[in-house]
Amino acid sequence: MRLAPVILWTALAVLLPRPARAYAWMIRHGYTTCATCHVDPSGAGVLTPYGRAQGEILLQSRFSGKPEEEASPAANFLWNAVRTPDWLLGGGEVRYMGLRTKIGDGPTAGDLILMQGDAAAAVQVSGFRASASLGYVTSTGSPAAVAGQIVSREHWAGWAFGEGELLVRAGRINVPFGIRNIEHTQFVRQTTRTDINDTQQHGVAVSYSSELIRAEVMGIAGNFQIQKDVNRERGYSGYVELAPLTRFAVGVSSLVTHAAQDLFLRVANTRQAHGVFARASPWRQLALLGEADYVIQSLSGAPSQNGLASMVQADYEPWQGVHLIATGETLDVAGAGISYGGWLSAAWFFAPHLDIRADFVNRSEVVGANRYGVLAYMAQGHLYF
Amino acid sequence: MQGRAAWLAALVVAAAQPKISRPEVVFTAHGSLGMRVEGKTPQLSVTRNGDVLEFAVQLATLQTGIELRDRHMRDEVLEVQRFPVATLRVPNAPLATASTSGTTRAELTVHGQTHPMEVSFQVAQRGGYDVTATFRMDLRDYGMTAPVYLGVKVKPEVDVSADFHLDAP
Repeated sequence: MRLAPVILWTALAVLLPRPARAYAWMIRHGYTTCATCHVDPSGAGVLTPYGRAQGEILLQSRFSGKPEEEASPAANFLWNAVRTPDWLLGGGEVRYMGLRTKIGDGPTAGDLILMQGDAAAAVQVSGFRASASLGYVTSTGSPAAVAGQIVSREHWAGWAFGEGELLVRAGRINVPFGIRNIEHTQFVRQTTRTDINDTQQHGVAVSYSSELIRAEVMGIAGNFQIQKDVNRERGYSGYVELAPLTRFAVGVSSLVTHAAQDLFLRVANTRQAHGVFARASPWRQLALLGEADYVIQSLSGAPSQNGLASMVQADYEPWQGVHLIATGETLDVAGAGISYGGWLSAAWFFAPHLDIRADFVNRSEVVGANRYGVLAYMAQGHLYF
Repeated sequence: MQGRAAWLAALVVAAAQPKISRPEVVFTAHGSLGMRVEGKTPQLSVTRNGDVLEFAVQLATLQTGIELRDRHMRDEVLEVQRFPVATLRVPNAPLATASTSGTTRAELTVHGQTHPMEVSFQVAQRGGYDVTATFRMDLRDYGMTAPVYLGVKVKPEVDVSADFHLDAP
């Protein structure tokens, strides 16, 4: 019954998606790096003042008919109700979802889930950088939990060199690997455990952001928000992405970790993931994302399980703020058969700090000798402040 | 020198009846934290004034893909209301006929100020001449200030390239 935890994990991942925020499709506007808009140089989390302005200028539908307008004061922290000193950046997010799922021949189940309710802050003084989040989730047992249903997805401090292009930091950090997208239940994110929901790890990371190269490598000391040391994964993860063109970037990622007792599989496990990813925008309305990762799990007392996880995504923005998204994904682990899935999604950034999103996910997943059909309908409201 | 002569020769041949097609002028500015800004326009023209070929770009037509950024560029950096055109004046030269590459001296006028400019070029003969020319300018030399927007700086050194086809006379 070694597969039982896998089944449970997969089901939970589908049933309890909790996306955070990171938009790799910003490459359509020529933004190949993340550090101009986010305090985290690899993306997601607290926004810089520049990032807040772009949230209104580029993300949101603009109804004035004057696309050259400046961002309004409402783009600021808490809609400009509170002014913070320049060195202190506030932020936070609330994401709520209505979900209906049907697995195999089972009944359709529905749920309302608070996926995210985080407050966050960052400090930038000279070269000093720090960022931390604290939030509440409806479920218990999150790997990001600091107590009960209180979670801290990230908290780190470091020093930036030069104009900030080089950052050395330590703490609980999003694991640098592949495309930092919000759909954390995709096979590539699940299989590599590199989402921005709750798979962050404690460790030390060095990142570099330049016009041509974006890179980060992290020495992983383990997730110290899970209780048992034997469950902690240690190793490294990193990526290097080259952007030879303004709207094209291609990268490679690598991850190796070992846990004396895998948190989900309950045996010693050395995980490897090595992959490639690319982002491109042939024209402004269309952004293409792709990632393929070769995954190796070396479980104690069992043969290695090798496999491939992949995804391609097309994000079409016919009008500013309106996104029509199609995603295809595959997962083939240990030659058991190919799981595949398709997502059709629509998102609308309709007001300052507000967006809504709907997803229809249809997956055919292989677990053991069986194949299951998984249907999921999701409607989300997202607010950041 | 042979390359320089060939390039200028191509220009002179075309300058007998200057006609330019498929033009694209691109500037690339480099910002902090890896930001890259690329602006483009197809509004490139060429005229002959005596022994000099003069290329002109209508600066108000430059587009970076973000309208607000275009407005900042037009109003606060280039000041296109006062200085709507940038020109590159290339001295005349003897004729030659070979596809080649090299550098040549020119004069760049932007923002009302003129300075000499070393221009790199490539010329390929294809039913006329396919021309690519590049140079790097410093905004400060022309009395302009590199923009800073909400903490993100743009460096004053800007790369400029022009691709166009000169029809044979």
